[in-house]
Parts: sequence; structure tokens; C-alpha cells
Amino acid sequence: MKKGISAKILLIPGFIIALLLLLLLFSSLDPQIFLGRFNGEYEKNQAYLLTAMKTKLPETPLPEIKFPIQGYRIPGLGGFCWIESSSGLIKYLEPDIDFDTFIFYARPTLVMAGRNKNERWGPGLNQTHAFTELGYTAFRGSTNPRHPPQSVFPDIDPRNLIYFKTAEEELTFMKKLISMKIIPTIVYAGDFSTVVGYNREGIWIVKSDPSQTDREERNFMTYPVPFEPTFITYEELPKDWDLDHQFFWFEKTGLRKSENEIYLENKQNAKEATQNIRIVIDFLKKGGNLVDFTYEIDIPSSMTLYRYFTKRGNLDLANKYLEIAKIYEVQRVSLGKDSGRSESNARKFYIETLTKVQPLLEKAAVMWQ
Amino acid sequence: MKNKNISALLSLLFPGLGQLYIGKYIDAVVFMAGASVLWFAIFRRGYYLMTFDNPKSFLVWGALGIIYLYSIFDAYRKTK
Repeated sequence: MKKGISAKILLIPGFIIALLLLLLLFSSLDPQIFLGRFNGEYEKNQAYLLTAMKTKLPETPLPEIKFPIQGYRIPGLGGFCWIESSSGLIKYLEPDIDFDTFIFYARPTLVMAGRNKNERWGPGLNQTHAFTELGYTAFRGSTNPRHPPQSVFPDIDPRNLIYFKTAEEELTFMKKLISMKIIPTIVYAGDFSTVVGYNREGIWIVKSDPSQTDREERNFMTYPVPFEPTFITYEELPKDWDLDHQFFWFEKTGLRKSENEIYLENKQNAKEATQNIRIVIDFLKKGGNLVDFTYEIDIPSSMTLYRYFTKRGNLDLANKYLEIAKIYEVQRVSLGKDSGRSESNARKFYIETLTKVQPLLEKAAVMWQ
Repeated sequence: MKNKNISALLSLLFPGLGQLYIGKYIDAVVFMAGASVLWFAIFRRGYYLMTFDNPKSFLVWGALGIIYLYSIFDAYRKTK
């Protein structure tokens, strides 16, 4: 008897497997390997950048500079580095915008329901949105010419996603920005961190630092506590500069919306949230996933709204948001340190959490005056 | 009578296929499992293993290379 499988049967699947592997491999490769292919993209982006920015950047950056910018840490909460760094930045740029006002500008009542391709699912809190409402134009630089879909950065004009060839080139560009008091943000070791200065040895970054702020008596209800930047050397920087060396910057290009306009937008969003949260729960029940910046659950929004309405004397509404924040906190604590849970467990957690806050959000929505 | 070149070509396309061709089924399963695990790791960790700036990427690609070469050599040698 003839042993083995016929070559005719094996060759075609073999070629298909090899071809598929090669295709997958090339589509996943670091684009830097094919640097030459993206020269056109690079030239187009860099030329656009010169016309898009109002600020004229210097030929060479200052040799060293440091701004007295802090961050605001929410004690006990993880995952809000993006708010903690950006709230400190805006406080420096616009001293009347404190943490709560910044959050108020960042869509604290919005629940997104994937209404179009550019909208995510889930909480709408977004620091880039706050900057745009405050009259800034957002840009993002990256050493990868393939930018994330617009739903990831809905408040950045797709033309403002700029490709740089190397991290060194980006660093020089960031120094030019800082020289002109435009403070960039990088993602360093997983945390959004504003780059508030540099010298010959390295850079100062405002990176969420619990060791400076978290004490036993402080928790999610404590008003965010200022913390100081940390220094990292140029040798350390490339190792943990995440996601294709991405960085963001905000240029002041217009007037900010008034707090009254923002109030009306938030009121409208609060109303929409009551129907959107149901759509989101249905979406999750059908197997959808929440992919957003709001790590786990949006406690900062509820706490800000609690403080906001307390100051305005609307205590019933304030307490409603405090109740929501407490539910979120209980849910968050119930997770323990389980950050590696499965997709289906995460989905169950979201459904459970949203179902618990849904009736309260509905009540709160009609209490906005 | 099996062809040595065809068995080597099959193992080049994917480790273990050459062994299937010559009837060494257990060897085929071992080669296929090894290569599949490494390919899975490469696609799973994607960028991390493709930038070649860390020891693990050299380790995984090196192991995959050895499996391919050994599978080709083994299939060629054992073809009768």
C-alpha cells in the first residue's frame, strides 16, 4: 500500500497557507521597513502642517525650557491619565479653567451609541473635545503613516494627523512647539503625559503619579490633587514612548464657547443619554464591545457634575450624580485588581454597571433646568 | 516512490506538509503544531515581534526558522 498523502492534495493547500502567511506578515510589518514607500505621504503631511498651524515655529528650538505645569490626580482611580495630565495643562494655559470646568467642557453627560462610523459606543468624556470647545485645534503626530480610524480621535481633523519619519524628528518638532508655549502630550509607558520642558539630558513629563498624591484618607470623592512632573532621560524616552511615538498638541486658534453654551450642550446630551444608554446595553447584549478612553467607568464626570450642581445650589441633581458616582465606585471596587478579564466578562460587567445607573441617569436628565 | 524535491517543497510551504506526503504523520503533527504556535505568537504580538528591537523577537523568529529548516531537511532525508 502506498504510504502518505498525494502531492496533488497537499500542494494547493500548502501554497494557499504560505501565501496567506506572507500576506498577513506584510500587512503587519512595521512601515518603517518600507520607509521609501511613504515619502509622498511624508512630504504631503509636512507641507500641510506648515500651512495648517497659525504659530510660526522657530528654526531651532531653545536649548532648554521648563513650564510650571502640574497634573491633577484623582486619588484611588486608575486609567484617567489623559484627564489628569490635560487638566493640568489647561489650568496653566487658561488659569480660570479648573479641573471641574475642564471636565464640564469634555462632554460629561454624553453617552455615545455608535450612530455613525465616527462615533464610539459608551461614555463621551474626551479631553480633546474639551480643548476644541475651548478654542484649540488638535493635531496628532506619529511615526506610522497609517492613522487610527476617525472614531478613535473624532475631534481631530483627519488632515491634522501628521506623519513623521523618526522619533528624533518628532522630538525636535516637540521642542520647537514647547519653545512657542505649545505643550505636547505623549503616551509614555501607557500614560498620557504632557511634555512640559526639556534640557540637554532629557524631558519633564506630567505623568500620573499616585506616589505623590494617594493617601489613605483620599479617594474618588477627593478633589483632584496636584502633582509635579517627573524627569526622564533621552535614553529612557524611546523605550516607553508608546504607539508609534504618537504625540498630540493643541494650538489656540479660536474663541472658547461660553460656559452657558456648554451647559446647554450638556443638558441636551443628558437627555439623549437616556435613550443612548439603552441602545448601548442592547449593543453589548448582542456581543458588542466598548472601546473608548474612559477606563472601565466614568467616575470623574459624575463627581464633577455633583460638585458643579452643589455649587449652583441644585442639591437634588447634585446628589443624583453623587449616587451614580458611588454606584460606579462600588462596581469598580468589585473588579479588584482584575485587569486581565475576558471579553465576555468585561461585557457582563458593563451591562451590569450601565443597567444599574440607567434609571438614575434618566431621573437626572429631567432635572436639568 | 516519493519525490525528495516535492517533500522538501511541501515542508517549505508549511512545516509538516512534507512529512504528511511521505507518511510520517506523527512527525507532521509535531512540526505543524510547533510552526502554528510560533506563527500565532507572531500575529498575536504583531508589532512587538516584528520590530526586532527586543530579544523575544529574535527568539521567536529564530525558532520558527529552525522548525522550517529542520522540517525541510527531515522531509528530504526521509523520502524514499
